[in-house]
Amino acid sequence: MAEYECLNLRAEVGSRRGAQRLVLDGVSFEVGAGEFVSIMGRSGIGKTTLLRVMAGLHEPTANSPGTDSMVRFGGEAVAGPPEGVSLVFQDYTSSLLPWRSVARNVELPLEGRLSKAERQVRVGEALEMVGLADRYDAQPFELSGGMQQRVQLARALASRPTALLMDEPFGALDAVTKAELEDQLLEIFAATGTTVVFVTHDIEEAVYLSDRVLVLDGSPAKIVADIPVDSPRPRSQMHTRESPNFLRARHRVHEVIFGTQ
Amino acid sequence: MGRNEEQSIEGASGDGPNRRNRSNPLGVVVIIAIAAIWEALVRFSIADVQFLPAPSEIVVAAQEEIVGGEFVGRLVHTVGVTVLGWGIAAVVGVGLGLLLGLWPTAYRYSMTSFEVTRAIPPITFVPAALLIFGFSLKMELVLVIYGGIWPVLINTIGGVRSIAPELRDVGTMLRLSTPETIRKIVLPAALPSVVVGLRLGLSLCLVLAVVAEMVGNPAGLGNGLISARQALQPARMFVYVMAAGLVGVVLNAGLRATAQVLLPDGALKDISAT
Repeated sequence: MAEYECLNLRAEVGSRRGAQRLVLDGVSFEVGAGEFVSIMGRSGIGKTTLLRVMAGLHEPTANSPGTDSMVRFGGEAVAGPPEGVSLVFQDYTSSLLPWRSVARNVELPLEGRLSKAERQVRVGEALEMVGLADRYDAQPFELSGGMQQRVQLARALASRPTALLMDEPFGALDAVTKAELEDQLLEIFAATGTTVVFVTHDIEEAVYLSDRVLVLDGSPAKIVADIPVDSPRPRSQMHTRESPNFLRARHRVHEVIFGTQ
Repeated sequence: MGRNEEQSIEGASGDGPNRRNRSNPLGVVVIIAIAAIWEALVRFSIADVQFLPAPSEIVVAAQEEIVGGEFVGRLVHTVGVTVLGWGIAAVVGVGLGLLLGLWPTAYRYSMTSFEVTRAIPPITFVPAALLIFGFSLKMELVLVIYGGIWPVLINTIGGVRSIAPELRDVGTMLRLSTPETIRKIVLPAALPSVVVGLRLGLSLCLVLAVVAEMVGNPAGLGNGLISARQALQPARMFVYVMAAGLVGVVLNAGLRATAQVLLPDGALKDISAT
């Protein structure tokens, strides 16, 4: 069953001078419930815009009458952030609240929705999942970049989302931290069954994590390839990356992005 | 560079306040030295300035004023009007600043008027306030509030408008209501800037209170200054000059201490830089 559906999606982005630039046109794809899908493409191609439209933070532009330009989540058209969707931003420094402790940051989405006791259980659970159970009372600025991104992931998980949207979440991290967080994300994905839509510019990362890799290209951009990754789960940094299935999928993504050489 | 960062982190982690409030012995020595030179200049008539009292004369006059004169009542008046006016200015300034910072249409329509009005020194409104409100407490309070609003307003607007777009997206994404967003995201994020505005506003409020008392409302430290001048008693006059300065220092220190107690750790990190 499709959890997310993008239908002939068209989106414009305003520049500072007020001119609108058409970034996406005719973007159509589905993401099944419990699927891990990565969106790839050159920088500036519109990956983040696509994710923001899916998150309900950016309104799609209407098509000519007769064809809808829309996103559906759980069968309903997205207008504003839908219940059950969490977004993890690329820049963790400006998306955590620096005046709140780690636990209070994670608690934010639950306030006013759950009782104090329930909130504490959820916060503990989420911090446990990202391996930060011992840093409850730390302030964000005391943590390393990788840890801050874990806090943001915990905040996204605290509301127990059915879909997790991630915008180049590990793009700013060093290789070792990145590999650690990739594996942690895969564990969380396996444990929660959450649908994940993951934007990245790293081919290896996209193939390692995903069930399918979608490639955006063109100006305005559309989906030019939908590449399945048949590597079995659970995956491991060493074995999966050496397996023929992984290499085949990586080869395909390379071909689409760089052309055959 | 590295050292500065280290200090700001220490300041945020809790032992900063002691460090910042620690008295500076060398600075005190300089003040004592200046007073001594001043005393010598006057006492030995090296500088023959009529009506310039020696520090020792000011100390004697201060004792007389505090014990027998109207000093305490005047002090209470000026501090009271400054704090009350500043309080009103703070509420109006922060409220209006939030509105203008969050609502682009209001900002576009009003900023030109604000820029023009703000450029006029508040002191130039003293004669107008005198004509409108007469020699009254009302006139003094209106001036103090008017002067104090500007820095609070401008800094609140600036603080709100410079919030990282990601932070606002976080609020939208978590489906926070507008009041929740203001309380949990906008206000705390703008707080360091607001506190700067409040501190600037407080010193302006004191200046305007004293000026209003000197020319208009016959009360407070400003009035004490003028009546001492009219009585040709320079030592008494300097008592009020010093008192006004001390009030400024104490109010500012009080505000800073309050901010340090009330504000959460993360926000303090930014304030310590100002």
